[in-house]
Amino acid sequence: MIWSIIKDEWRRVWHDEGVVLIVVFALFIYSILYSLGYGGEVLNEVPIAVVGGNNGTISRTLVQKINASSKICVAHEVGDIVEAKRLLLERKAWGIIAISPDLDSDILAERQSRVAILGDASYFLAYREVAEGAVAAIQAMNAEIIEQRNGAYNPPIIFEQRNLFNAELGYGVFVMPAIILLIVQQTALIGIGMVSATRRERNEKYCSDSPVAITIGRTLTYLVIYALTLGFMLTVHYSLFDYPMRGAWWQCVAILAPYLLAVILLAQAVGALFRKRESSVVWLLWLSIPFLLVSGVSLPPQAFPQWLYFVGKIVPSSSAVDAWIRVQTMGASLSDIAPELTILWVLVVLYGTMAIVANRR
Amino acid sequence: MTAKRFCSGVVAVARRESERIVTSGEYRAVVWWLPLAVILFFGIFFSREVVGALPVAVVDEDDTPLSRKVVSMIRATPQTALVCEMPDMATARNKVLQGDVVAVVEIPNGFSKSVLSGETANVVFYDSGANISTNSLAAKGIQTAITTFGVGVSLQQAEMQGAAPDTAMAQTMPIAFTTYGLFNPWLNYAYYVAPCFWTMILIIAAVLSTIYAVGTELRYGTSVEWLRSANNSLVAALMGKLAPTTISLWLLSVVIGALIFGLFGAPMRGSWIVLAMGAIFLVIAYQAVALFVVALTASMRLSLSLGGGYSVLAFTFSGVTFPTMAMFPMVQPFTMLFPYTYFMRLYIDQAVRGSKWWFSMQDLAAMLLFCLLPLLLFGRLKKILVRRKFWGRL
Repeated sequence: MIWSIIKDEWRRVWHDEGVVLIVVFALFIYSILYSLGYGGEVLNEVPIAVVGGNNGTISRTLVQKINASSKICVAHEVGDIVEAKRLLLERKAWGIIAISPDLDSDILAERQSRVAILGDASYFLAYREVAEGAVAAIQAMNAEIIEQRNGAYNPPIIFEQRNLFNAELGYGVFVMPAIILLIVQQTALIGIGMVSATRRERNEKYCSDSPVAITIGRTLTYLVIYALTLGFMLTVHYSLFDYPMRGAWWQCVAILAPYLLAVILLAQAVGALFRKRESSVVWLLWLSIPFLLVSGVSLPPQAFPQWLYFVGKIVPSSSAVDAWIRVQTMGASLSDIAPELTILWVLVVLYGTMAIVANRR
Repeated sequence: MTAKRFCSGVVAVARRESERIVTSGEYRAVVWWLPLAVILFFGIFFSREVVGALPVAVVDEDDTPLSRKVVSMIRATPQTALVCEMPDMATARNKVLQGDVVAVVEIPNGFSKSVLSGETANVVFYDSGANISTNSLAAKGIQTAITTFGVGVSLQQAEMQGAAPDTAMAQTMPIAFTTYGLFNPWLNYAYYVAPCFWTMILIIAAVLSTIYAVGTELRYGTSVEWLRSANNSLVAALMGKLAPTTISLWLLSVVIGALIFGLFGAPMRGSWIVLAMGAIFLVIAYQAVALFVVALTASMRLSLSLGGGYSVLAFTFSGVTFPTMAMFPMVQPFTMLFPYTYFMRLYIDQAVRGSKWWFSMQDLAAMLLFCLLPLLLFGRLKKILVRRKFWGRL
């Protein structure tokens, strides 16, 4: 009985080009496009403008040090701040470093000299690169000056930044694993919703009277489809773009199995609301950005209302993405992600019940 | 066709369309309720004015009065006020894996001895490396705290050796520096990122509502009736059809503007006229793209999939979060294919940077070019609307 439901559902997916596009191909298309969009990974050599300074040795050395930074490069050296601001407004420079014109004489007289770092805070990533690059260059310059004066540079405390898990901080590496899981959820909700609505619109019956059997059959069908497509993503796409894959295969399965189940069951439950074939796209497309936001990936949970973060846990992606990143990027064990796995299994039971109710007719 | 007949056609279609919107629950949802609901969601999401303290673990292996001072400095940083102390690095590491803390600060054994004997001690900040935004937020506050503390110790040492305060400063930090954030000195993330998301809703609404408006005529075979009420002029039919949604969407942009500049109090430094024109051009550009897609595919369902995908992709390819200059050179030209890119540039220039109005003319012109897109398929669109074989397809 379940076998015939699987065969029926399988045929419905593959004989419907609209559904195939969403359930099967959208995952590949979106993942490739997003991965290419975030493919540069790190921002390097952000062009900046240097103002002031003079032709003295110390001034020149400082400009060289700034230019040597991998984060920024001195694209323009201009006479005054008005000119530098113009370059900023024209998007030819993303920061200004204003050096005191008396830098050389100040340092030679052992007076403190000043430098102002003006970053363009209308683009956050660029701002951060400019600020970090400039500060590091000035600190290196300070160390050199002190060393020349005293013969040694021994600051009492050095702040050192290290990475706990040797994880890279590229933008794509950071955001894509989460986005891929979200695409799975979004395409399943819309695609399975389309199958449900098409059946209702054409008034077609299931080949079984048992809602439990229908739910199991339909769920297994999509589980097989997504296991195949996601398996392809995790092997081919992941190695192509070099995304972190620290978890063992069984750890991946431990997260993805309840995740896919919860998503597929939720999709069947939601699908019952649609009367027309096109409705699932119209109603659900809006949710992709809110789902990404409540998961706490792009902005930390501390940046938005706490209750929203907890309410967001009813969406399968929220717990799955969190667990997935910790296992894949940091190498967490299953016991570390036990709370997230528990939530996912609770959602499986909850949405499973709802799906059975929804598949009653 | 006389001008009068044309105008009466436009009015008749606009009236017919308004009735269609009012009588269809789903149509109303696409044009009004869904975008409003998501706009409200973003309003709540970004309502927190300051980012709450990030949980950070501190491992004080030294445990001396000096190291305790460092711990209390870290506790006092606003970004990371939530500090839990861990006995050793292994425990702290597990806390990161469990997601309870975002970073670990290690004050090594012998810290105080090194500092007091005039040598250098390292304080190490370990980030998890898994979340860029959280890591840099946590690192920033702690780096400032530690660096300030280090400079303070240096100053004390210099003054103890008999240097005057001025000289001591010049000795420990020959070149002092200050960092300013231009255009957004508060470095307020919501001012910067919430408008990007709200604008996304506007364009999703524009694309979906336009495809819905034209697509349902094809799907239910009512396109001839639609053309007839426009006195068989396709231009009148399109103008009348899109006018009610264009107006609704523009009102939606006014709601968004009220939230950004009124409720959030984000600054508006440039020209209101240019910004309002930008919003209208953006809406019409996306409506034009949607029409183009419908004409191309002649299928409502396929148009919804393609148009929906196109509208959602705009965010990634606009350069607002991940800058264009960091993308692969091969990918960079693709940013030009989305009207959203031009509008966000215009928004940043006008609202955030207070650039002169003529800075945005180029962006307005680019959006205008998208409005001309349906003209390429004008003949095909007419054919689709009158031929029965294109109807009812899904």
